[in-house]
This record gives sequence, structure tokens and C-alpha cells, in this order.
Amino acid sequence: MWKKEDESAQDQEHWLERERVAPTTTQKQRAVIGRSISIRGEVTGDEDLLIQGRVDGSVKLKRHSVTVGVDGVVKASISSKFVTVEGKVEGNLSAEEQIVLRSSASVQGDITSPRIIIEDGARFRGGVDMGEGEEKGKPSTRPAAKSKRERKSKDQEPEIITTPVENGAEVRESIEAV
Amino acid sequence: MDWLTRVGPPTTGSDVRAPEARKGEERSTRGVAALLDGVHEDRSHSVLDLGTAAGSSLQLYGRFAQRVRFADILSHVPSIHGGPNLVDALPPQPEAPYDLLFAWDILDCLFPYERPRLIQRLAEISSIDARLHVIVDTSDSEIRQALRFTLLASGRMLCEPTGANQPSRGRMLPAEVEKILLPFQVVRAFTLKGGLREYVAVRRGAGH
Repeated sequence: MWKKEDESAQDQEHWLERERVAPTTTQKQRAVIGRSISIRGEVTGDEDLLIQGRVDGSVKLKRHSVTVGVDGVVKASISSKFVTVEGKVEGNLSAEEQIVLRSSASVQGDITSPRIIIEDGARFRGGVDMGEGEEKGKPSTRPAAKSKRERKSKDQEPEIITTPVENGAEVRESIEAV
Repeated sequence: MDWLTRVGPPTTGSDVRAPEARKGEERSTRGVAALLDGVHEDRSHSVLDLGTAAGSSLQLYGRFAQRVRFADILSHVPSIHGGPNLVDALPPQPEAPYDLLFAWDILDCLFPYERPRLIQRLAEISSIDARLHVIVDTSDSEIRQALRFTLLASGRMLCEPTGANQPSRGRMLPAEVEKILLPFQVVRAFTLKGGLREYVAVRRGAGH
């Protein structure tokens, strides 16, 4: 009885793990770049890819998903439909549908996708473009809109007023100009 | 000798204790709420966050901006505390200037001579009327704790200690902050529990 439950739990964990690694794709086979494999150059293809080794160059799998596993080290741009990062990436990421940076991820580069998820603990340094691609919607560069209060303040010099401290309140003091 | 018991032993430099370790806590941020007040949620703006990337911060920025940059200045260039690599850590020239800038407590982590350089760089890469949010530790403590700020909503943030304590780079008084932030002009300021002070500043052009 216990064994059966254990097996069931393991089975569930296995499926959760599969879902976690490739949340958006089907359960079909995918290519794997193993831990001891190192590739320099352009990786292209027509199936999903899991990178556990090292890739320097570029990865282009336009209609599929690319997962950089926990042990994966990628110094390359990745262009795909779905991108999931659990390892290290130095390069730009672009996905038509979604990019997920798992908690173990470390990414340095720019990422472009309409849907971007950054889990707690993930390290990321770079730019994020959540547009639908350059062709579909070029972002405008309009400056920030001003509130009524700020519009009013534009003609005034800021005035600093000190107010007494209210003990216990989270915001104990408020010094406001305008 | 009664007075001696009442007064207690003399304090020396070594007696100065580190501030009580702050645990990660959710707190209100009127500064961020003020900064975002009146900004259209049309995703036409551009955001620069000098702190650490976080999913919930990105979610909030995504309401206002399509383009966001997380510079993560301090953690990626440890030698920033030594000074010479500050320029390397600064964000590159963007395609479009930034409208909303979150500097968090980075000024406190810099040596005084580095602070104007950072602000100068921010002025170079921001739009006219860009808004800047800064947090400054106003406590008298000689030790400061590195903090990580995560936005949970426009008026809520998570404030977490990130690791080792650092020696204080010197407390900045309000007038000094205003001077350092130029050409950003302080328009609002709030003091939070725990000795943190938020400043909201707006970049003024030559005509202002």
C-alpha cells in the first residue's frame, strides 16, 4: 500500500517536473545537448531543445521551445517560440510567446517577448521588451504624463515642510513639496 | 558616585552597534505611489530600475512601460564599492530615454564622490520631465544593511536585507540630497519607519 502511494507520488512528481521544465510544449520528444557537450556555432532545427551543456553562438528554433537546464551555460542569442532558463545565459533572448526565468536562472542580456515571467531568486541584468515585436508595435518614446499636482508644481519652487512625527504609524512623517 | 551608575559606562567607537537586522517586510511606499501618480497606463513609457530584477516589479512596470531595464548595478560589479568601476556598471545609452527611474538606495552604497556621477549619467539617459525615485537611509548608524526592494503594487514594496552589512558612506541630509539629485528636482519626500526616506524628483530642463 505504502509502496503504491510512493510510486504514485513519484509519478506525480515526475509529471510535475516535466511540466515545469517544458510548461508550454507537448510531451513529445526533444533534443538534448548533454552536460558534457559543447557546441560553438549556430544551432537550428525543427524540434524542442534542452541545453544542459555549453553553447556559444546562436540558437534558432523559431517554432519550438528552448530550455536551458540547470547545468546549461549559454553564451549565445536564443530565438524561439518559448524560452525557459534554469541555468546561465549571456546573450539576448527572444520568444514569440513566452520567456520564463526560473529561480535558478542567471541571465545577462536583453529579453524580448510579449509574456515574461521572472521567478523569485532569478538573477537578471538587462533590458526587457514586452512588445509584440518591432514590426507589430513600435514603442513610443513619449515622456511620462504629469499629474495635476505636478503640473501645478512646475511653476513653483519646491517647499519643504516638516510635520510632526506620528509614533507607531508606518509612514511617520511626510514632507511634501507642492 | 550615584551619577556614574545612572549615566552608565562611557561609549567608545567600538561600542557602536550595527542596526537591528531588518527582516524582509512588506511596507507602504508613498514615494512610488507619488511617482506613478498620473502616469498613463498605456505602456508608452520606458523604465529603468537600478536594483535587482523581480517578477512582481516587472508586472507593475508592465502596466506603464513596454520597455524596462534592470541594471542590477551593485550585485554585478562588486568592485563598485571601490569606486573605479562605477562607470562600467552604469546602464548603456538606451534607444529611447527613460521616463521612470528607480534608484532605490544605491546612493547610500556609493562613496560621496560617486553620487553626482551616477545622477549625471541618469540625467543623460532620461527624458525631460523624467521621474526619479530614491531611498536614503537617514539613521545615524555607522553600519548600513544592503537592502533589496521589490515592488508589489504601486504603493507597496517588499524590503529585504540582502547580505553583509557595510560601513555607512555618510548620512545625507535633505538639502544635500536635493543638491546631489540636480538636475532632478525634488518634488516630494516621505520618511518611512526604520529611518528610510523616499524622494521623488522630476528632471527639469534648462527652461525651468
